[in-house]
Formats: sequence, structure tokens, C-alpha cells
Amino acid sequence: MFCTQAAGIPIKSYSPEIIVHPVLKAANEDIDLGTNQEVWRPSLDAILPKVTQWFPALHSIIIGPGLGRDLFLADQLIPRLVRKAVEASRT
Amino acid sequence: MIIIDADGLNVVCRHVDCVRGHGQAILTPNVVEFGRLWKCVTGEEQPTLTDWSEQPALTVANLSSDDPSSLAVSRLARELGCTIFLKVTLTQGPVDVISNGSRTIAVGTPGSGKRCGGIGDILAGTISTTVHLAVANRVPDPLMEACVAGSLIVRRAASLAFEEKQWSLTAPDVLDALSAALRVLLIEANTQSSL
Repeated sequence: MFCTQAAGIPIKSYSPEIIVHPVLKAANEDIDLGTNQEVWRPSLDAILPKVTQWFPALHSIIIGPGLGRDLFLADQLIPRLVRKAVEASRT
Repeated sequence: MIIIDADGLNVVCRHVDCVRGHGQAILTPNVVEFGRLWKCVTGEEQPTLTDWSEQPALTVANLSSDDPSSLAVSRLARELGCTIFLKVTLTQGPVDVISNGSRTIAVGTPGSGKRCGGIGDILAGTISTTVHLAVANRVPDPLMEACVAGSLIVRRAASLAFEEKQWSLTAPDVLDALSAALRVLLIEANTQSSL
């Protein structure tokens, strides 16, 4: 399960058997959304490979449940992850 | 394989191009999410859906192309190039409608008498397993088959859990009943094939 940093410990505490990767970040954690790409670009570049590196080990990917509507996730990170997941499942 | 559910569908509404034409994605909207997707993709107001309360009961059936839900779900599937699984709600009647744009199937086997948060998440998780199994075992039309299987399994699990928990049912009860549901469905399938 890939989730934000803040969600990692509660999820792991409720369900210790789940493999949790708390690598995502939300705007309300430490990303200033602003309109300036330079602000969030480094965060994207750091986060995306932490998820996509696991794609070869996965049979299927579910995107959405528990995601919430954080603007950084909804408008920046997740659309890119969907594209990456789409590319990965074509191959 | 990729399944997009819940708030992931809001992402698709805002960034339709990230899935359009993909072919391998399954989207699992409820009626509200379906309406939102419909508006984003077609630019039209709410689609007309079938009033199942006026239809005879069904288990699993191919929907005719002039059925209102079939028209709406298959059109959205074609425009997005995805498989669409329109989930049950009580107001629209207890039938799941699944389409890849060319073929549309309705599943109306008994489910839970009570809705509760989280059953949709269980459905997405179940489909993620069935779709992998369908693809790995080279089942024809694997995404459609996986969605129908997921619907049948979760509905049966919800039905079994509801028998026991009645109005105290919550999503973890359905999760606990998944294995029993699968066993019952397999026994029924074996019985039918040996008749």
C-alpha cells in the first residue's frame, strides 16, 4: 500500500500485515502548492520513482480508495502515477 | 492492470487524458461518480439510467443495446476506452452494469440488504485479484470476466454477511465472508456443470 507519510503509522497499526510504503506527500504536509512549478517539481521527481520502482513486482494496481482530495495528490502526483501505471500495464 | 475507484475517479475527471484510450483500465464508479465522469467526458448533463424496480429480476444477463443504463455505460466506456463497472446503489436498484463499450452485462444476484461504507473498496480489491487471474490464465475478454466475477463474489459475501449481521453489518463483515462466498459459488458452479 502506498500512502502519505501521515497515514503510514495509523494504517500499519490497524493492519500490521499490510506492506506499507508511506512515500506520498500531500499539500497539507510540507508541499507549498503555488502555481510555480519549481516549487512542487522536486517533490514529484523525488516521490514518483519511490512508487514506480515497485511496479514490476505488482500484479495489479488500485488507485483511489482512501486517496482523499488533496490538490497536490489529485492534480500533480496521481495523474502522473496513473500514466506510469498505464504504461507499465501495457508492457 | 489498473483499477480506478473512489477519489481516483475525481482525478480522472480532472485529467481525463491520463486514462483515455488505455484499454486496460477498469473504472468502478457508483452512480454519483458515474454522473460526474459522464459530465466531464461527454459535456452533457446527467445520463438516463434504467429504473430496475420496473424490470424483472435478473442474475447475470447481457443487456440489450437499447437499455438506458447499457447505452450510458457503454458510451462512457467507448469514449474513455476503458472498462466501466457501474456499482449498485439503493436508489437506482440493485443491479451492477459492466461494459467495455461493445458488450454490456448486468449482474443482479442478491447482495446485502444494507449499504455501508467500504464495500466499494472490497469490490475494487476483489476485481484487482480476479483481473490478474483472468489475464494470467488467458481467459477470453479478461476485464469483463473479472468484473462479473468480482461482482458475483462481493454480492454473495455481502449477502452471507447480511444474513448474520443484519442491520449491524459493516464492511469488515463482508471482507470476512469473501472466502465462504467464493466456496459457495465454486460449489454451485461445479454442481451446475455436472448436471
